[in-house]
Amino acid sequence: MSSTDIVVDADGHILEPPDLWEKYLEKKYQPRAVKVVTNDKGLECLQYDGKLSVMAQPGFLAALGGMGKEQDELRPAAERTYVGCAPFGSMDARERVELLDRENLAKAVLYPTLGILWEAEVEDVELSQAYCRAYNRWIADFCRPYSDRLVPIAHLSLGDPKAAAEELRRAVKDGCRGAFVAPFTITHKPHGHPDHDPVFAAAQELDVPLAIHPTFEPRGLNRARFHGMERMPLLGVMASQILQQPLSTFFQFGVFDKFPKLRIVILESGSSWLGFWMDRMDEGYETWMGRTIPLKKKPSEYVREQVWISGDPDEQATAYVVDYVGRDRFFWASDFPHPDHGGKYLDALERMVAPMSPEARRGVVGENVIRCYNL
Amino acid sequence: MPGNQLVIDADGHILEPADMWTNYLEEKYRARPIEIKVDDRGLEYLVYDGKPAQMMMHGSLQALGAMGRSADKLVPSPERTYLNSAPFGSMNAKERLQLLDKDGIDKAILYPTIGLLWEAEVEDPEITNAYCRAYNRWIADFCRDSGGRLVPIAHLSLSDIPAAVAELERAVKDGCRGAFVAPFNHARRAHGHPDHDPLFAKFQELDVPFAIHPTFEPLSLASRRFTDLGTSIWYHQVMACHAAQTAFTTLFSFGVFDKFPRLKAVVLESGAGWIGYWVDRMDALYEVPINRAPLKNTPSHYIRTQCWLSADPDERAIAGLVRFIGEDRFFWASDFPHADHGGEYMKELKELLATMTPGAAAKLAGKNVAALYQI
Repeated sequence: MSSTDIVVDADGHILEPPDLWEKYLEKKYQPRAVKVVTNDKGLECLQYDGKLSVMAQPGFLAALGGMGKEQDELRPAAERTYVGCAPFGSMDARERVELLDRENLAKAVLYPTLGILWEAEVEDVELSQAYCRAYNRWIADFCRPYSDRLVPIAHLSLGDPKAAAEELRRAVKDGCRGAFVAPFTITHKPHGHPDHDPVFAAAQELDVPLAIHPTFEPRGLNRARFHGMERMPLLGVMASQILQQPLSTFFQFGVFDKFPKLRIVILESGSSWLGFWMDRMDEGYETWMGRTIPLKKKPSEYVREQVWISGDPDEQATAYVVDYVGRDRFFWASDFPHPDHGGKYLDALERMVAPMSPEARRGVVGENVIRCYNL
Repeated sequence: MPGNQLVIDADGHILEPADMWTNYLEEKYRARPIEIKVDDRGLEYLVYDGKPAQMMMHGSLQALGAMGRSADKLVPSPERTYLNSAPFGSMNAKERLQLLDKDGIDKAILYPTIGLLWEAEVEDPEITNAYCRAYNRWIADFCRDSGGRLVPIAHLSLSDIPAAVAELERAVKDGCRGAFVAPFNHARRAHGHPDHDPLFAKFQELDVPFAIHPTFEPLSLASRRFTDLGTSIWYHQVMACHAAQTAFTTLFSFGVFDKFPRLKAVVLESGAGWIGYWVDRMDALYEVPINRAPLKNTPSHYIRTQCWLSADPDERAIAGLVRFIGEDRFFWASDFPHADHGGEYMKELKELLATMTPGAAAKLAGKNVAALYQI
């Protein structure tokens, strides 16, 4: 990287205060808040709507800010708490800006932590919308004093598309610069389904990107092939598959023709596969199967105009496809402070962009996300 | 192709004769063949072990050899039969050699067609293995007088490992140069599971490659992420690469390549442009201290020494990735005569090779597959 490069983290996380939902939910939903509670072994558990989370194991919360820690330091223990283990910059806006300064990052686009866990287990569509609104009000407040550095992104749930569209309008007015949705929907409607058009229309009208970010998911969506897949090492690599599914439904339903200014962003699922996916979508499109989807152009043409993707900095293959896919398509992201990515993201980023042309490099490290989000 | 460059189709298909199983099954299974019957509307359908196939629509057998045909010529009708729709070279070895000559292809590694359909619906391991043996005897005979230009590959099922081990030994002795398995098994045992070790040991001992080829799959394995996509053939075609990716990844989850350091694994008809991301992300997950894989080396080490991928010739992202992953890892395949790929594979291959260095192009065109299969 050059010292003049503007470097932006396209997908950093905050750890929400444990009382966020109690404080920011509308009064009528406050007794049903997302809460951190302690079980009889002294381990913290998550609670949604009065019920203990099944997917977030007791004691797991303390590991959420565990980027760069060793396995011993991530094991559940009573003395390890969510707040106690939160690293510098993960819960406090002033600290986060200090961290950005230290790392020479211009800005960070911020996403939640507890907020990417609860949606898989909350089936009440009305409550899901209320949880989203609470987070969105909070993240806007969190970033407000540092609006030139910390970029708030709203969480939307597609369970009620009209409410989600309305919330996007409210959140953007309140300072959010875009929104994200989970890769699944509680209704099982594909993302590109016309039922979701109100959300796409709102994003287009407000001129903000709509991202898809991986989350906890209801069981059985992607790991039915073999017994025991939940615990098999390395299957986290299937994150690309999880995001390829919702992304492809935008083509299946012709969303980009209906909303030619809509911008879709793919987060935290790798990036160098995008060229492969363009090839694959085009290949199917160019056979008789292509006549079954309502597109005016080849899928890759929409990708090059309306889709962006955020890479892990330890991806070295991206440099080898960036010119083919498009130099203006790629971001990078730290995933700070989550433990499923390594802590040396800036060193990794240096290696990621080293083989790239200066133009491609400047795009990946920051200019692309600035342009896409109008930052 | 420039000069006398070696060109090998790493994954071509034949259409099996309709009476193949009746003729090649062992006596005791003859009454339970795979066969083609005609319904009262005059439409052909498949029967496995006395039961009508559920996944293959009546009248759609004629479309199996329909590469390059337009959608209106795929509509089921009594006039369109499996036999009379089979294109030149799909059912006859002499014709196939003429087709190879016309295309400028030296050799073709051959895979079945009906053989990719039935396993999803046949749960009895005994008849499953009998069906595999019948096909394997037939394909060895089919290729026998081709002067080595048609390369027979055995079909194995993971449903009965001792039977698969014995059959691999028999089939290789009979002329088969390797074997493939489906990306699933009814017991839902991951491909890398230690129960499969005797089979990997036999592949290693015989020094023939182990391949995973996509097939029809039990509906219970389908992603339950979305509804409303039941008939979306383009969408499902695009997603079809996920099955082999997942099965392949479990070889790493269980440390198969450490146990069998001379095992050679091949991923077929699932594209190749995803492997850059796969290498990067598996290596990153290997470094993260959560649920670590039991491997002596980084996953990328095994990919670069023991794995090969067959690319679709219209994959444009490959040229860059070959520089990153290594020139020795990639093949190309025609998929002839299947309808899920276009018919212009030679034109596409030439365009792909033109984007590569002469050395890398020669390897992808044929040298890699010749070296791996020792043909």
